[in-house]
Amino acid sequence: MTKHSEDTPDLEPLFEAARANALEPSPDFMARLMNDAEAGAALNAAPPETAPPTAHPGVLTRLVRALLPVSGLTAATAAGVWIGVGLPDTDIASALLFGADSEVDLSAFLPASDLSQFSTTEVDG
Amino acid sequence: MLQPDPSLIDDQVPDAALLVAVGNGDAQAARALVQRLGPRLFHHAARLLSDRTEAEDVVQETLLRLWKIAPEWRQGEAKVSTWCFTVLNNLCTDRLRAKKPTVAIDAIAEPTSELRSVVAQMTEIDRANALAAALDTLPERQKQAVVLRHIEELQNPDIAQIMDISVEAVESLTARGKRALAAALIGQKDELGFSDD
Repeated sequence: MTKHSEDTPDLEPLFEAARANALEPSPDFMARLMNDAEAGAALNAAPPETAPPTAHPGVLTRLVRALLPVSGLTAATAAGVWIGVGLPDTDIASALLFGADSEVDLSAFLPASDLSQFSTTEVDG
Repeated sequence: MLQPDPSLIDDQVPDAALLVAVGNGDAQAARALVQRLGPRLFHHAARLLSDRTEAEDVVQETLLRLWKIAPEWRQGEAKVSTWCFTVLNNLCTDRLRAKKPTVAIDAIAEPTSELRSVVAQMTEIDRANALAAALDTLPERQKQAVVLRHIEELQNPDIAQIMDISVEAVESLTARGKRALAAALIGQKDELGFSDD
C-alpha cells in the first residue's frame, strides 16, 4: 500500500479496486504466449546453420598465416639469388646488379639505330 | 500446451536465471517466465491502452523481443521485469501517440444527479472503472507513472529506469497525476470511498 501525502486525497481504495479488478488475460492469449515461449527457446537451442570457426586453427593454416607477411621478402630474395647465380656473366646481369654506369653498358640496352647519337664520345686529341 | 514446472514459477528462482536458461534453449524456463510476467504485463498494457486486443499485441511483441535477447542476457545488469516494462511502456506510448489525444480533465462533465444515484451503488468494479476513466484523462506520462507506482506497485527507481527519467521526475509526475485524479474524482468521493483529508 502506498502512503498518500497530506495535500492529496487518499486514493488508495481506488487503486486497490483497480488491482483487484484488473482485466485478466484470456486462456487463449496465455496459450499463444506459451507457444511463442517454446518456439523462442527452441530457436535459442538450435545449432547455428554453419559451423563456427574453430578456436585453434590447424597447423597448415597457421603456417600459411605466418608466411604471408614474409612472402614478398622471400620472393625478392629468391629473385636476387637467381640473377646473381643463374644468369651468365653478361652486361645485362652486371647492369641489373650493379647499375649501368658507362656508355658501353648502356649500349647493350639500346637499339642499334640509336647508337649513332652516342658516337660523339670520341675525344678530340 | 505444457504447463511450466511449478518449482520454476516459485520466486525462489530469479527471473534472470530463468532467462539465461531460455537463452540456452530451456522451454520450461520460458514458460515459467510467461506465467510470471505475462499477466502483469497484460494488466499494465490493458490499463494504458484500454483495449484488450491492443494490449495482447504489445505484450506478445514484448515477450518475443525478450526471447530474442535471452542468449545475450547478462545477470545483474538489469531486472528482467524492468526490461519488459520498459519495452512494453514504449510500445504502448507508440500506440497511444498514434491515437487521438486524450480528453482534457476540464472537459469532463460533473456527474448529474441521476448519475450520482447510480454512483451511490457502486461496487468495487465500478470504482475500478471510475479510476480507469479518470486515468484516461491524464497526460500520457502522468498516467504511466501513476499506474506503475500505485497500481503495479513498482519502486520509483525502477519506474525511473522504465520511463528513462530521474527519480525526482517520477515523484513529480506521480504527485501531479494523483492531484489531477483527485480533482477529476472529488465530486464522487463519497460514493467512491476515498477521503480528502
